[in-house]
Amino acid sequence: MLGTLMAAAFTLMVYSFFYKENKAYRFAEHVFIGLAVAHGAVISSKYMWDTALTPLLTKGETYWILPMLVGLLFFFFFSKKYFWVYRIPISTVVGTGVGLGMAGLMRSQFTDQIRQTIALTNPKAAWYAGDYPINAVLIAIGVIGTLFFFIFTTEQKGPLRYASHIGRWTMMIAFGAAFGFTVMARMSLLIGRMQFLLDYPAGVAWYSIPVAILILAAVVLMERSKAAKKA
Amino acid sequence: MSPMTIAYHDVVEKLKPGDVAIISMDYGPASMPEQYPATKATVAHLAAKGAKIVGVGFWADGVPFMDRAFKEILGASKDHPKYGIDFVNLGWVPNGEVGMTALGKDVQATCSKDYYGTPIGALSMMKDIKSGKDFKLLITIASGTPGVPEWLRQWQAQFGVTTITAVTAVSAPGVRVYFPAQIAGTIEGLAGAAEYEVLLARYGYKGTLAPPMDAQSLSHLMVIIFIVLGNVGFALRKYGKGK
Repeated sequence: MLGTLMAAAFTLMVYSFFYKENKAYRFAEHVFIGLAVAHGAVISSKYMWDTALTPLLTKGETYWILPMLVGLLFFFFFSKKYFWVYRIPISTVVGTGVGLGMAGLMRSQFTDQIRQTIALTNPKAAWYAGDYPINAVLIAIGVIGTLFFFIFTTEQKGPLRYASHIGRWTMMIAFGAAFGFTVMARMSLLIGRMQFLLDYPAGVAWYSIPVAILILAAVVLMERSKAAKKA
Repeated sequence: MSPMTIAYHDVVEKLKPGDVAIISMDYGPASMPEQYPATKATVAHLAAKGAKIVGVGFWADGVPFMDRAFKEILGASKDHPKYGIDFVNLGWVPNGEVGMTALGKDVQATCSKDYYGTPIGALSMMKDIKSGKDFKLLITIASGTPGVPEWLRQWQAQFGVTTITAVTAVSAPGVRVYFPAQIAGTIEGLAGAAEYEVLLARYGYKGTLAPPMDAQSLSHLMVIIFIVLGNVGFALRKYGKGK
């Protein structure tokens, strides 16, 4: 019950931002960041303990010393003199990530995407599939138009101008759809929080509504007294 | 009912008892209202099909949702008599995309212990699961990075594992380009999860999303009305002055 009440209080502190940025909101924000970092630190330490330190100490798997030493080099970030040492682990991490990413990226986000875009039409495909005739035509027009929009080396006039306009419309429709989905997502999050405040567990609403009014009143009073002092 | 949700449902529906599915928690508490209902429904569907479930998470603060879903759907997690036989929770794997690669290459070495500290060798169902090739289905419940593109790069492209995803509505347009060729099915936001719950009703699954969807539909209606009013006002101001 205490946890639920605290969660409700923090939710309301965050929503006090609707009025304006204030100390209650900032407190909740700092607690959230602190908790997230602490949780990350604990769970990372546990993973390192289970995966590297335990085999090293109990099974004598000494090769775990090397990655742990490389990991410790991250702390040279705090040294002005030996900052260059920090570049060794960071370059290892970035290099590995980029290398692994590129290997899969070429297929999943480049060749496979091109293959889907230029796929022959298939009237028997489902109406929502990319190779259904009308979809394939729309995709082809949209992709070619959008590519033309980004040709800046030649002045956009004549047929190029029309193609570029098609590209602009295609992008506007895509951005509009993305924005619509974003609004839907934000509504979902708000509804989720409202459900939590009003339904779970029964009775929290009786607590949360007066607390909301109190927080809002405290924030307004604090802001007004600050403004009066300035005046 | 959107074709993406139907496809998501159909992919899980085709699983046979004993098929191994990996479900990854790639979201945090901020996306919980949208993503957790999809997580719960998916676990319920996988359990109804008799699939073996391997839970994992690439977001440190998302992993507890796996434990919670097991508790709410199956009644218990690590204390369940079938834990380690029919389902496991491997917990958090660090390093995002690099971690996904490592998990795909060698599951046992990447997760030496499960979420509760049990050595992976003590979990009977994990004895035959060595790499990404041993999974029939990959499900990522994702809301950012690492998420869908990373899984596609490191698992779908490498091992050809059938991949489905539940994403937040914000991410949905970006993921739709992969459907249906690379991603076989998608749950898009709260609406998609509500549709999925309806499809699972025949298994006796009791969803929780009917009231939120009513609120969502009403709020959308309100937004549409405001957009129309705004445009009417704009048109009146623009063309009214001319006259």
